[in-house]
Amino acid sequence: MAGVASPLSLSPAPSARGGSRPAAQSHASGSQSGKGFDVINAYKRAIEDDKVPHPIAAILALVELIEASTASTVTGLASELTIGRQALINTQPSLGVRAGCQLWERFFALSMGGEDFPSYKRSLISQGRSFCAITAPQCREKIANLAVDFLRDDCVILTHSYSRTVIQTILRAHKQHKRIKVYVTEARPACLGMRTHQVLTANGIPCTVVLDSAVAYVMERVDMVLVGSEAVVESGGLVSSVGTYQVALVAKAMQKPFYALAESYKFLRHYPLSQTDLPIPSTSTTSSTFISAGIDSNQKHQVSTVVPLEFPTLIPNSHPPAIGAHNPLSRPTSSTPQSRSPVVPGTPTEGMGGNRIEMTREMESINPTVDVTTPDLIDFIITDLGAPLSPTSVSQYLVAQFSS
Amino acid sequence: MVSESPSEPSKPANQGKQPKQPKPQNQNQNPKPEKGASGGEKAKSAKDLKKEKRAAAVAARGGGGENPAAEGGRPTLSVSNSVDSRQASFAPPTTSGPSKPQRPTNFSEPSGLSLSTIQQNLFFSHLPHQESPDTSAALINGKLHPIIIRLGVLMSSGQLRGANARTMGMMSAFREVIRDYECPDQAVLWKDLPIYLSPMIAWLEGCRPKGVGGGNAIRWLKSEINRLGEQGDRSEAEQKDYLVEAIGLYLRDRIEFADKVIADNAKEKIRNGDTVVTYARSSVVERVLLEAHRDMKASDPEAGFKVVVVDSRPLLEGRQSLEALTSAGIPCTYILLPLLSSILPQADLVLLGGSALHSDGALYSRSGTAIVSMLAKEHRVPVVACVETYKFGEKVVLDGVATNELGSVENLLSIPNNVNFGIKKDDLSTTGGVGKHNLTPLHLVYDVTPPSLITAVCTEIGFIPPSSVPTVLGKASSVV
Repeated sequence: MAGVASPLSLSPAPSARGGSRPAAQSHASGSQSGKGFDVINAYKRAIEDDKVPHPIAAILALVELIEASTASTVTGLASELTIGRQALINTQPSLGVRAGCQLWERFFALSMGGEDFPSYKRSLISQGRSFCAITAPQCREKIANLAVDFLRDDCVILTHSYSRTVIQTILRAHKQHKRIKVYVTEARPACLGMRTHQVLTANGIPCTVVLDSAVAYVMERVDMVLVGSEAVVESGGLVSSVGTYQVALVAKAMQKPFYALAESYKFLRHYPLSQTDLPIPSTSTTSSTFISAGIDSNQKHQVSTVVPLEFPTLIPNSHPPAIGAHNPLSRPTSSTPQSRSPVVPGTPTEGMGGNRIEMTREMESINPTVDVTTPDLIDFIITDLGAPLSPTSVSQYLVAQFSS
Repeated sequence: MVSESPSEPSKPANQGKQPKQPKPQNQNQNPKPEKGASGGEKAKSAKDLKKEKRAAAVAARGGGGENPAAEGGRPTLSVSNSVDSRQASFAPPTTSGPSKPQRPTNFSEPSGLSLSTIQQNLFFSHLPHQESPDTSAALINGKLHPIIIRLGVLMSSGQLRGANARTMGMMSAFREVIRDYECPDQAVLWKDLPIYLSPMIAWLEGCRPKGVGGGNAIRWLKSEINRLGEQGDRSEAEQKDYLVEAIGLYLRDRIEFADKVIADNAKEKIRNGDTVVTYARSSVVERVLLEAHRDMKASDPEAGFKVVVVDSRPLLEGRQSLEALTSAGIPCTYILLPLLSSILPQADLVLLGGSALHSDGALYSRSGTAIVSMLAKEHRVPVVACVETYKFGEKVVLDGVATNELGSVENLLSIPNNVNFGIKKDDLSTTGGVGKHNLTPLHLVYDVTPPSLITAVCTEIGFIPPSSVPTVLGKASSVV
């Protein structure tokens, strides 16, 4: 472990999160002290712009890192980039960050060599900037162009949560005078579905918000399902906001076409075998309270994951906790039970509205934010690479890209 | 692997000599006259066909290269020759005496059993069977390097088992052969060497089919030799050094490093508290489990996972893997295949090894693997096949009947406590046909797991879905 974090660099982001990532902090600051550049803050600044998706924000942050870098060799720059990448990947919960970092890493590796260092650095920066400013928005345009042909006149679309690409596609169809009606799920707990509703109704598109639990009810009236995604994984599946998987399952059961929209910079080199098999760092402010001593050992691996929706190891009304802890069939988490905070996330609190019992923050926080939609449920993934791809060809594309 | 073994085959010499010797000769002599007379016609013609095919293959290899050499010198030797001499050598029992005892004790004498009975079975008569190699004839004919002969014995006896072990054994044996090889004066190395090697390759193939991985390795070796021709002037020693080094690199990159990367990739999927199911024995899977265990213990002494080793008769290879896993401190459960359906619902991951992965993504692996994957699919347990890319085959195989190997049926009917159902081995072997009991014991060594049952393939280039195998194959062939 690198020494004590220097107070100058990297102080705001991790300490604001209650020092949840001491290791990542010392990583970055320990070997990068003196540069004083904070990738995480740069990332946050970039993501504040509503139009910038996670992967692009990550790339922007890395480009800024290169700009601020004082390294005078390619190797020095590469190692700084690696540290910056690790810091981003280990702190940001979005898988899109990982996808963006992978993309940038690959670009960096491929463009290496040839020119002298200063001009190489300049060309890296300019290429990175132009990619983020021009290519990335074009991706969304291309997808909207391709996807709009799937939308017939007078069709009913079900979408999940909030996706800029989906909205852009629907708006484009609207401009082409196709009469389109949209059901959008509420998408608890972030309730981003309300935002979709807001945008669409403002543009004069009939839109109804559906409870997440009413997806199956509404599915018979739907012509097609259109969703965005956070990342596309090597199996050809999607990682996107939680609930997408169940929408896909219901669509499959009702034989409605399920289309996903994904920009090619969201392709992620990862092969999830199950819902819990995602490299999501456990950094949301609440889950960080569960992690204490165990983090140092876990830090050796890239990411320590906390499995969402674990059963509480402490049961409030003084049942002996032995069953959960020692049953060989139960799966203990990576953090040992002792290190858990005594605050039990299973205790509900009385909501303001009298008898209605609502979920507490803790209860919400142990829920997942993303899920994996398996490739067998997806009809097409519409990307900026050209003709809509089946999940199989997406995975073939990914394998061809990454195996080189 | 190979270097250790010389003591092993020779050790049983004394034990195996006395009891075994009389029997094989009887068995081998008896069926022969019968074959011509009775229903053995088909079997014989099949054998002839095979012989012709091999001879043709050898001729084709040689013919493309150099004719004069093929006519007179040692390269002409062909396998048809060696097969003839092999048969001839049975007649005088004395000649076969000294070499026979080289066979290890645990090597059953399947020739009588499998030949006469299984070849009657129309469905499986086309499959190669594990036949005891005739080492004496091979030694006499002098065209085969001794290390190759020993390797053949090890392979056919089942002492050298597993695609990786066999391929590594074969390639390192060829490395020795190339070291010892001396190019004749008038010949060119890159033309002569393949001709020199081809009877050895054919002999090994006769001992045990080399499989897709071995075939890929041989094809690679031949292409390397051919490339010597393009590279122009180099001394013979330089060329040999180049090949020896190249073989070393191939073994290192395609097998050893590949296994290391596979282990690194696959162990990420094993998490604390998981139950991992494996079937039979695979060197890669063993490595994955051992490394996953080591890493998990290193990061957290409390953490751990369980392994269920599933096994099946008659090979019972899982026991060896069980030994390695338990001695490393991994909690294991050992079950036989029939019990799997009750165990699998509690499993989190199925890890499989494989002999080959065909281009449609179908896994060619120890028979029983398909059942394990089927059950896993039924219970929605992810199935991960750990296969190195050198085992990727360009063929498509639709079932386990068209391409397979016939294993020894010796152990099928003799269950461990010697209850034989009153069936003696002689009943099966000597009568020819299906025997007194209307019985054809059948042991197919491999089966085919369709791609739909495999969740992911773990290779040295990462996890890929079975549908992406052609992409990898396409890339590989463009590189080579």
